[in-house]
Amino acid sequence: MADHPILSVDNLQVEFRTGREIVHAVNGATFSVAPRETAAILGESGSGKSVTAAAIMRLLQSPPAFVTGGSVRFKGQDVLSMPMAEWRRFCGRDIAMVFQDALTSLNPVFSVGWQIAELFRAHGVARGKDARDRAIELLGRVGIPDPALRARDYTHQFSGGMRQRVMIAMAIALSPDLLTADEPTTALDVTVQAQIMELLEDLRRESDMAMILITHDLGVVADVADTVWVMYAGRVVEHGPVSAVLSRPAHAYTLALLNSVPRARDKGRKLEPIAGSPPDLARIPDGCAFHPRCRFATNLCRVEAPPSVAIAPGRAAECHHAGKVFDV
Amino acid sequence: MSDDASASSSTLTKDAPPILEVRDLVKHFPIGSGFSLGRKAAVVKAVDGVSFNLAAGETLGLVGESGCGKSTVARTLLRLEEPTSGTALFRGEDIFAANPAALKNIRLRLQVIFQDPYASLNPRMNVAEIIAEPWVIHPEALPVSERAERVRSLLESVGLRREHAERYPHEFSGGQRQRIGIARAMALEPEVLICDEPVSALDVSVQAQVVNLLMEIQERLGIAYVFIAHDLSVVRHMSHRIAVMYLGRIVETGTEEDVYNNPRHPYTKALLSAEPSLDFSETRAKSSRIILQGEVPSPANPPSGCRFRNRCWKAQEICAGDTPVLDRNEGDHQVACYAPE
Amino acid sequence: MSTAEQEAITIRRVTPWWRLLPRDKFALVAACWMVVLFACFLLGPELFGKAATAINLRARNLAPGSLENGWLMILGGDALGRSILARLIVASRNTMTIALTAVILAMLAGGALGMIAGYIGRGVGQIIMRFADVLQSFPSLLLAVVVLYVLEPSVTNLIIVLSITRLPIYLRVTRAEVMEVRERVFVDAARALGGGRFHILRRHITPVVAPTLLTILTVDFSIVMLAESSLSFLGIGIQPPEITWGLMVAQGRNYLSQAWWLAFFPGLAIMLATLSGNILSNWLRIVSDPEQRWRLETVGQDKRKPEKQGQGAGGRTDG
Repeated sequence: MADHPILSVDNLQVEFRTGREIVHAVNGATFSVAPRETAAILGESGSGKSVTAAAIMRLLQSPPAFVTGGSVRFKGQDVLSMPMAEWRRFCGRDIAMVFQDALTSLNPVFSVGWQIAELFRAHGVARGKDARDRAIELLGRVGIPDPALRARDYTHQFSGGMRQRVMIAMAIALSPDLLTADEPTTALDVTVQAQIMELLEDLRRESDMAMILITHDLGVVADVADTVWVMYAGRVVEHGPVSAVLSRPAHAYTLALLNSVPRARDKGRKLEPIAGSPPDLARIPDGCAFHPRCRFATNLCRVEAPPSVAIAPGRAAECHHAGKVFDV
Repeated sequence: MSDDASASSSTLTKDAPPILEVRDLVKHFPIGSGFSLGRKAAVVKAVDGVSFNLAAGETLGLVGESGCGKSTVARTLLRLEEPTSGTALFRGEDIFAANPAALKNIRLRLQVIFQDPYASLNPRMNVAEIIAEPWVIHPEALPVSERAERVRSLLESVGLRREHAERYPHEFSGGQRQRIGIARAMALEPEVLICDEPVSALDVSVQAQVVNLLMEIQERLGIAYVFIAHDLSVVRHMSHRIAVMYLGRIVETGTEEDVYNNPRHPYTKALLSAEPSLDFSETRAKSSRIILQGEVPSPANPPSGCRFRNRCWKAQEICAGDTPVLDRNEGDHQVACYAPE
Repeated sequence: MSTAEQEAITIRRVTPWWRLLPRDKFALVAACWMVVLFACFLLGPELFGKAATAINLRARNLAPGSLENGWLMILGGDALGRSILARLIVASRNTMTIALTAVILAMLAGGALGMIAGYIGRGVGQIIMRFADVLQSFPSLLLAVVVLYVLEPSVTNLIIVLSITRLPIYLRVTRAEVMEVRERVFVDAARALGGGRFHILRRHITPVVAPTLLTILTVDFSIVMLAESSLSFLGIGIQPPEITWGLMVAQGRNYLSQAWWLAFFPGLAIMLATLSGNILSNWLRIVSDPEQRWRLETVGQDKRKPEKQGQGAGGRTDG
């Protein structure tokens, strides 16, 4: 991939302070996204993947959320220290986001055409009829039939998949260089999910956009991503090219996760679940956060946080037993 | 029906009489207010003529996308909703015609696990109270003196600890709560368990725990499952036979191997092909993937004839006419299509 | 099951409620005040009956705060020079009998009707709701006046009338909560187990509705007391020489400009009783909710070491 990542996150730390406890949602997440690539952030609930995305987009409400360390650099500029007004100019034009729930992310009282046109007006790209025409063109581009007609409709008049298309249209309206998609298809049916993923992939290729895909679905990652960053308990525990990581993982968690998914060849056999539950982020275990659920765990894992072990160029895993896991 | 319960069930289905026999189940929900005098009120045809058999000890997987009516089938079988028409014979007794006393008796043997492990447990009751509730309702099932001990042994059998009996649901994770729900369903030792998306709300790593537990319970006790889910790989792993639903009807049914390896209905083919695959060995054959146009139409206003025809790449004129039905002459693997593969 | 699964939940004993009471200082004070009131209710008229009626014309409208005329006059004297403190204590029995019985009756009847309207059936529910509409659209005082003119103005009738006027609130709140709770999945689960209506109302719905109703009850308590005093003023409620706090407020109103304490202290008594009732009901609501109990259990303990698994307030942040 390219030498200069479009986005790089270094040792990001985010915590939520509730009256009762401190929830360490992100604990030193480090990753980067190259131009024009699709990077998947893979994690279960409690992995901190969505909080990471929200922190990058500066969407966290503070309090209760506090970024306590680390940096986010987008096109070489430090995002977190940038004045909010300046950041807003970036948003939409250079970096945009697609959410899981389109119904609550779109405004119900304006027509979708108006909402998209408003984006052009707000950023001073186009005005009046020109803005409206461009909105219609955009709706057509994301695969909405009769865009001129549908532009006058309101969000509740669209089905789930169509709504998601509208949100994607808004996100790509100003041709951003980076699109962050937070579980964009989780709420959708399988056949519609396939449509939306194909659309995102086509748009990304056509407009030379980079994409961060945040998901819990191993299948989706395998299908569309170039690189994958596996998160557990607020850290990136393994990363590398998708095919390499998913076919021969080097972190015990990635391996266990892959083994717990039922496949055709396992029919009739017992699955190999990961014992226990995802970690409680207010009480993350010492050493390697995964050790209580890990079948490779040794005493070392209980006391010492594992260092990042390089497996191959562009591939690393934070696991004391990376070699052993890799050879399974 | 114990050890070989997980074996292929094609023989089971034919020889033994089915434990549950559903015929032409229809459930229409009226929409809008009932004030439209004279005019016939509009209805949502959530389930529109569903028939299937369930043999003792087998698992029938019911798959389909949202709005296909699979959860409504579950709710009507449990009489949480009253069906519009149809019959459901449970050991020869019609669930839908049962009076309250008979129904209470059926519920001793027909139990359910719900999708949402957070909402399906009363937050104000502790685990012991939750698991013992079935015996409060059916006091004849277990003497009071034995209940406390039985709660604890049930907890152990679903992989929790005896001490957990004193705790409240909010102190457990999603997977653990689902285990509590399973323990509650097992308290009456049912013969049929309806699993309504039991793992959909759980994390991937935890799903496998619950799937294993359900399979182990089936092996041990020979319970038959109606396993409802939208996750095709989980259904495949669990089920002996599969029924694929689309807009309130079953479009294809057969053994797990038949349906997954040799799908005949275009919708089944598309559904299977849309499922993201983890197998890199097939070098991501994206070109062969079928991506359907459009979305599932509203069940309030489905297309005439075959309900899938407006998204089907093989649709012909005949598809708009009479609704295709499952062909009973074809043995186990039946399909409701005019141009099956 | 694996060790990890087992470690996830540590052993913890549920703190009994009586050990939680001292942890919440407000609730403790409120509970103490309730005990004092109850003692007044039980023993007041027997101990202070004489003092409350002893007229001392030299102590007419005596200002509070002095012990010169004996400690009973600490809160001052009323228009006839009777001890306000003694009268407050004596009046507590009538007040509680009437106001408390009225609100409890209203709560029970309203709660029961609300459950029927919310759970049993649409037809019956509609009739009950229209009945509540009629009750509410009638000015409650007018309703009370009409009924008490028709019936004998006795204590029993007074209680009945007051409870009828307060009933619609309980009815509506109960119905709304029942309609919400009945849609929850755990109610479906109980139905699927074969649980009948009565079982579900008792085991699943009442525990949710009851704390809300108790909270309303404590607020209603003061409203009913003042309503009762208005009726007394109109001559159809409790009549002197019988006294209630509400009646004392009403009588003291005439002297507001010369002797504020005549109305102030009975008003204060009403306010304190209501407030402590409210605090206690709030405390009860928290204690009875397993998900909220930790708020009391962790008070005064090391905050860095909460005892419990955090699934509740902020345990999970990632979707």
